[in-house]
Amino acid sequence: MQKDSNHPANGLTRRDFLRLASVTGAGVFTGSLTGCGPLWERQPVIEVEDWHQGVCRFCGTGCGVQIGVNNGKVVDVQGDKAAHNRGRLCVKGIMNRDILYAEDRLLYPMIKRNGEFEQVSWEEAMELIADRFNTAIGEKGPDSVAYYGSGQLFTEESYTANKLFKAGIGTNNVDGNPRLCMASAAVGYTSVFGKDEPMGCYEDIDEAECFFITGSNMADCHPIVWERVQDRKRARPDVPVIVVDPRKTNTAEKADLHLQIKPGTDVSLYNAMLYEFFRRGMIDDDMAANYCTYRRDGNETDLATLRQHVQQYDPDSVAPVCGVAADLIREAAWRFGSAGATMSLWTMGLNQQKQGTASNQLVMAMHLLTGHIGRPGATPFSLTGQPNAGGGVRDTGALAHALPNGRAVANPEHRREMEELWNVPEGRISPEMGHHTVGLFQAMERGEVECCLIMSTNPLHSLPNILRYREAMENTFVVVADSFHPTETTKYADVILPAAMWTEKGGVFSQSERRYHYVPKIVEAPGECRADFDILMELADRLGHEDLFPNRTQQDIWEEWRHISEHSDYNFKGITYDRLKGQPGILWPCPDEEHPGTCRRYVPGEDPLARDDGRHDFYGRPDGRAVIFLYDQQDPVDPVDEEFPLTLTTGRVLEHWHTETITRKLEQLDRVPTDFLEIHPADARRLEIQQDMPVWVESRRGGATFRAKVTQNIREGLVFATMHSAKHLINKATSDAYDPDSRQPDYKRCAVKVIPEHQLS
Amino acid sequence: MKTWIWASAAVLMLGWGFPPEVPANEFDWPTDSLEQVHAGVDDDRVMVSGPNQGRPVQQGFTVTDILRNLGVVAVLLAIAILLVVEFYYKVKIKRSTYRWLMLLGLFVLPVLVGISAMGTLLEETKTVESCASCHVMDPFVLEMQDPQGGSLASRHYENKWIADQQCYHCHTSYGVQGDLAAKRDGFRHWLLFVTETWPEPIEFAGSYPNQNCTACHGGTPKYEEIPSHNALAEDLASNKVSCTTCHGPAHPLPHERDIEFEPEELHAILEAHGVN
Repeated sequence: MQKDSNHPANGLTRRDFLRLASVTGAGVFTGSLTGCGPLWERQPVIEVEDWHQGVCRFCGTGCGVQIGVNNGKVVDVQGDKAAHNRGRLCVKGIMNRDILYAEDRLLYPMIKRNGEFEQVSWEEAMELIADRFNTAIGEKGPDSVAYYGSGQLFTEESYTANKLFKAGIGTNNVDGNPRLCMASAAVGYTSVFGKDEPMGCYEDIDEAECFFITGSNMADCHPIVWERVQDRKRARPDVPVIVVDPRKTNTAEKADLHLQIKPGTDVSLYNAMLYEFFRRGMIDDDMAANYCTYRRDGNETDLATLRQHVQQYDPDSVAPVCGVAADLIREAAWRFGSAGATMSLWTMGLNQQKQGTASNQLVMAMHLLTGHIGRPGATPFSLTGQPNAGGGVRDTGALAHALPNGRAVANPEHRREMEELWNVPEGRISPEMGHHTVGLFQAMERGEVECCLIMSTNPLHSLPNILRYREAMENTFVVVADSFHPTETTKYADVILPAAMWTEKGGVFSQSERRYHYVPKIVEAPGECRADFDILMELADRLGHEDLFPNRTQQDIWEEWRHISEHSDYNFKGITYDRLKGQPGILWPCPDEEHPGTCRRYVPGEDPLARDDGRHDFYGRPDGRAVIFLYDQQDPVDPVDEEFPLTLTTGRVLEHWHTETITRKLEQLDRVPTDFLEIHPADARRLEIQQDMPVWVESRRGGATFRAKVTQNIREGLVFATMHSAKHLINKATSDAYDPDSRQPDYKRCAVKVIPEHQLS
Repeated sequence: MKTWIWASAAVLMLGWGFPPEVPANEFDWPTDSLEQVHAGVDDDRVMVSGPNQGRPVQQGFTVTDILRNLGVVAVLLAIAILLVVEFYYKVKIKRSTYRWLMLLGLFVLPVLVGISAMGTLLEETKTVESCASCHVMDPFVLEMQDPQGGSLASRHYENKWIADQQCYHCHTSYGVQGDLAAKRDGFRHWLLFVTETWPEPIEFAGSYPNQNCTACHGGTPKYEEIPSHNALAEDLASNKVSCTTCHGPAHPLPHERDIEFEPEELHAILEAHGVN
């Protein structure tokens, strides 16, 4: 048979084939460009027009996200693969896609008249607010007004509020929910290193050879950071994970060592670990002698005194105090001290106690004395709770005792510096510290504070001993800006303002590792919602402080703020909006626009602000040395007795956020219960409580009903409730005693009794 | 005519040319194989020491073995029949018998050979080494087999949560029972590959079918007791949320891929893991 290569039946030559294939291949691409993509490629289930880089709305992990928009609505949110979370998100992160469209969004300003909320115009609402604030300031002075903010506002917003109240109105009554969350860590870092915020970064997790996780249920509260810890453990199964927690949490479940400590006995435990470091000769002599100073009750002391001090805290003596076997303490200390690099992680369990600051300082001391600091994997790392408590509130100094960039109200030099930087007359910033959170609500109770602006937070749910402060709210002219209504707080407000949330407004967030990152404005806010920033600017104008803000846009405020940071040890002048929009965040210090950011602070060679000599330069301290504080264990403020025989502690679950104002509104998360009370089987038997039985929990202050969850995961004598449930407010029972240094309330320990509801008469 | 014979033989030898050192599983529907994985190791397998330690070794025959051997027998038989009949018996037998034998040698047996070859091919393409034969897959296979690799794939491999055919188990839609979209994707991948026009870094297109995960994990107490799974039940079933969002990444991310190595290097590594 004669071959005819032109005849189609005789197939293609290799060359023809390749040519055809190339054309088809090209067609695949052009096809996908011209809308034929769906015919050629597997398509995502959710159709997305544009993707935008952003940050999750929820916790202090600060996961980078890609936000998918279609038809002007957020339709999908996925983890950003380029960010530290490697594309991962937890369930709350995923639910970002739905939060903007949840029920009960507040859409119009409302004023309460005769006990009922009436819809009003913005003009009317703002006029009333300005009028009441001006009257109060005029009649009773600047300290009769206050601002109560949130670690969930953008940095530009918290900065603006802080500047308006401190440099404009002239009161330091500026505080916020970070006081309930991070104050002990902030005061801990500031007192030990001279400046706030952790020195390490998430990358340390990948290098750590021992994890000491204390007072943190990371698996539920910082799930994506926990995943990174798990990654390390998977790659190096010999890396021990030590967890200190009164409950066998999802975190403790995965631990190699679980020290199931009695709440509030941290000081004893850490002193015992220091005792072990001395006994085993694990003290890094160079660190102890050349990089640390020692202090006890405000007086200078020395290493020998510390050594003497911890003698009374040998593990055998401490074991009954902490409720942890002495050998377990010895083992934990041995692991901590002998590992190549130890990383501590902690959060509310340490912070929310009477000795919260002391606990923070002691964990830092453990790192300083063993030399587990400032090396890859060796760092004391406090996890932040909120998406912008660090950058927005701690760094801007939007707290009653603070001024921007680690300055203190009490320091006249600091006040003068800020007056100069803010270009206000000398003496404008009040030398009086403002009211810290609990103090603020007590001042409202006494009628000293007449007007209060509350933004993006729900204090009448989240404060301890809330029953008491409802009356305080009634006494005061309260303005609440929130995205949702009703909340426990809006119920008691006089004016409520509808606030835009998350991608309905843009701005800078920060997270635990000093990373500043940007959330873009992508969609329009519903109804008449406005960004908190706009609300603050209008309030500034109406209160006659427009001069304070010659530059009006949010970007202008950021420019002002980053230039102010240049005059401090927080220098992040190099972090511009443009840079943030192009990458998933930058870690400060970052002094110029070429600087890539700093992973490890205080380390010469890594930190641009550290002077190039020695292992560390704790430049926040005048002498460049960190401070080690000596502490004794104190007794509980609210001890158990015959009437209140059990100890109550509080916490969270993975699926819900704070006071549930957002997460409870989402159909999916509404399935996850938060109104349970964990109780040990032995206690349950004694109290005739069965699984799922409604039980009444009562402290010396108040109580609420919960559903009993009988579980071995909790210590005998201890009960646990979440802070989330709005129907069953555990904070009616919690104690409003607070740490004397950080003024952070002691949520983690109070005495209660538990009674099956059917036994109540 | 002789072309036919040689073609059949060639197809068979091609199939024969990949003798599976890591033995193939039965040619099963994937749900069955996943169940087997879930249940542990098949009864007819034993664990061995050495480089293949912990990996299953097949004992006895599988359907694939039978199918393949049948193909060999068929092709030999066909060759024998054709040679003998054509050159020796042609003149000695009846014309009708000749035709019947020709039909057998030229059509019936080659069809059998075809089925056998196809089965062998489909089975072979489920193996890790088959996926690894294309260098685009190198970063994924290498990381999966790296004991320090942290990805979901690597953990399933290293911990023997999936006994063999690890790639295929999580990408079952590429198999014979996969839908038309999967076939189209396969064709598209092939086109991109031969024309060298695939975009780097390669990424999984569209939404990952969670059923590949839930086939094993779904319904287990460990799965059910996680409140997030309950909360997202519908979103997971409709693939609006991927399992890998929380539990991933399944493979190294684009910036984590080490694709700078020589083929010899890869094969040395594969060999060290007992995979040819």
